[in-house]
Amino acid sequence: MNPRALVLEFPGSNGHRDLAQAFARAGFDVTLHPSSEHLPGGVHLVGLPGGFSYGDYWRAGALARAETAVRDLANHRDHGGLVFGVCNGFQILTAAGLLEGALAPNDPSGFRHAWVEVELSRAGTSAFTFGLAEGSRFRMPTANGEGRYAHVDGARGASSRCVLRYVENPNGSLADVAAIGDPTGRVFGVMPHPERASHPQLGSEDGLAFFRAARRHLDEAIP
Amino acid sequence: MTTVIPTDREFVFEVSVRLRDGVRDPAIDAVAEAVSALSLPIRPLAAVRTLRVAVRSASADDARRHVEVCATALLVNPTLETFDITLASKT
Repeated sequence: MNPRALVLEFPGSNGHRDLAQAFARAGFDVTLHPSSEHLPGGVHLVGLPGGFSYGDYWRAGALARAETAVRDLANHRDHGGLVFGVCNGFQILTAAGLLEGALAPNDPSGFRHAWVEVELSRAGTSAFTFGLAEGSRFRMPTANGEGRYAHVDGARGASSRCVLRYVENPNGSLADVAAIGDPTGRVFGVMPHPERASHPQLGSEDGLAFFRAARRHLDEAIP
Repeated sequence: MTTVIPTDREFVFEVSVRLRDGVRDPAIDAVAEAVSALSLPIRPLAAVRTLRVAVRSASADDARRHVEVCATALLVNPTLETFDITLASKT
């Protein structure tokens, strides 16, 4: 039986179908789920997609943190569930306090969209890199205006949570952070888009590695 | 006959949120560069976002507490930002 994944749909999300398709390609049974409703039971992975939740008004990700499904995520994590946030989803996870730090406006300022290369800087710290070798590189597109990772403890704090780092930093992100994980290893936020690098027709399948890693992790974790 | 004494009043607050000192703001850098072209003795310091809210409550202190909860729970990311709350009016 395949593990079950939900992808949350926020008002303003535009990447939920991309993320759902990438989860499905990695072997999950996927359902789209309104962010205004509680998370159902029996879910192994919850995805927070890219896009512009609440129009990115006030600050990207800030308003979505109050959504019912987001407020359920800590409980989901505490019961062994995985949480994946990409781009705006990453911003929401930091705003909700499920991941440390914050995503500040890019430096130099402006929307940045380009293919980037990231490197796995700390293996064995996240379900989403389960079985992947440290130093492995992945090519994915990035598309954001507020993607500069910041941490209250500066570069030391950023490095302590870093899972993927940019090979060439595109936005002034502290310690070259492209993705971080939480201390449990079950919550993961990434600024470039693995789900948009998950099919040969998209120019890269590198992003599937993270969803397949999560699937392997669950295969071992679920009796 | 029962006399109904209204206990709630309406207070209007302004919540101003700005980046903490030391957090680089590329937008303010751009504004500063444009302002410098005017040859005025002005140095832009920070971009501030302000939300104006009305609160029905029995006292200004109680109303302010509601606004503080809203600010810390939703409007401010303490990693990047700080905020001020100002009472603008009461009726």
